[in-house]
Amino acid sequence: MRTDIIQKKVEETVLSSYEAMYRLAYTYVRNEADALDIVQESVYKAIKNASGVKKETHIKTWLWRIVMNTALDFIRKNKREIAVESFDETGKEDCYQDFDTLQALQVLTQQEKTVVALRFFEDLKLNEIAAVLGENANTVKTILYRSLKKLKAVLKPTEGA
Amino acid sequence: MNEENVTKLKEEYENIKIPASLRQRVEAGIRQAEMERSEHMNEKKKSGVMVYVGRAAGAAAAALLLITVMANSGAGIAHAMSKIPVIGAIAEVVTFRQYESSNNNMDANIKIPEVSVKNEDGTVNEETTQKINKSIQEYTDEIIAQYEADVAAAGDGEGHMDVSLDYSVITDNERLFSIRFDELLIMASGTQMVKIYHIDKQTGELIGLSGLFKDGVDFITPISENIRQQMKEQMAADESVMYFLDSDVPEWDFQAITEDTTFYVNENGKLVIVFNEYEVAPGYMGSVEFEIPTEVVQDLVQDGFLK
Repeated sequence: MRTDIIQKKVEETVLSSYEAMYRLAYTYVRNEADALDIVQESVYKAIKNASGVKKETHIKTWLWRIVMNTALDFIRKNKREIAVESFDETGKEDCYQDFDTLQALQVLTQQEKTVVALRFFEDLKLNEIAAVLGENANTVKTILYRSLKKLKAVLKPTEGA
Repeated sequence: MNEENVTKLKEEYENIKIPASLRQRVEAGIRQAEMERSEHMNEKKKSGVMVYVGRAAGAAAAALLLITVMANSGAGIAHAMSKIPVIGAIAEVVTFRQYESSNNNMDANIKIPEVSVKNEDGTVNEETTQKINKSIQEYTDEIIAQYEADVAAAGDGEGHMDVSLDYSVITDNERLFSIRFDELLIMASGTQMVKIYHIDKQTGELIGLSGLFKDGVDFITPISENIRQQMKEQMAADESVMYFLDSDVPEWDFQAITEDTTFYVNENGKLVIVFNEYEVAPGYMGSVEFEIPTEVVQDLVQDGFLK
């Protein structure tokens, strides 16, 4: 496919999904400045390497992969724990839900976060997530089940409170 | 985890506050990549010329089989000929050829005009005639070669592509004859390219932008300045408009036009500068044009070109 065409398509995809890219980036780093850096870097990489996309239908998946890798690189380079607040086990159960249920995602590994965010927040199918991660669909399923179990432990059902 | 928790999580995810500067940062990322890419393309163009000549020659030979030479006979052709715009005495489109091809959803329709330039006494100006036709030929060969390369690359697979090249005589007044080519390439989305040839009817020569102006004057600075001003005004008036201008990194920005910048003179006799996609703005802006107020170049332009 001609580079200028695919580049334009990538650009269109970026312009229609940058808010979602930001949310995913924010899920990893949990602060605005870092998430903005990750988005800008991801956009740059995506446009610059647009010619590497072989099929138009792969653009979105490929874009997720770039955001994920950029975020993970960022975390590795900055070598600091990003806003991981410990859970106060003695707190009231509805406490997290009032201030930030998303905080619960911090019990997950980076890979588990990616799977949960893409599956539940961005509504990707298991095989699409597998493509983003470069894993097979069964592995993704396993990660998803494990993640949900971990989340269940921290997010107690409200009716049980 | 239960449904309620998932819903709650999703809700909060969707409520992650989008900072006001996000759009700006996205645009900065796009700009950075596009500027680097265009630098890279320029380098490639320079080094790739020789390779390209070889390729184009082969493609042209193959293309010959498909080219239909329009003769001045036959009902369908008479119709086609009648569509050719009326042209003045000095320069005219005498005939055109058409390259048509269709392969597995990949179509090309390329019209190649042949221009004849005559001196005032009616004799053919061989030099300019050959020069313009040779240049048109090279330009169309390049498009055809690219199309054929794309067809070959697609193999038996599904390729969806439609490339068309059409021309029109956009100016033909006492001083200037201009023929414009519009290339439209449609794949998943469209790309638009414009190329315009101009003949100075006073001298009978093929001219570029500098040919409109008096010898030795600096027309680049005032025109570039005016374009920058127009870009700023448009961006201030409409936030969906974006040009490569005033970024943190000045080398990405639009600096100045060149002596070869594409232009035409519109029906009001005003100079219009044309930029192809990606030249001064991201691809979503398409090809962009700026009308230059004649006051800006009043003292610099030769008589008879602009009003």
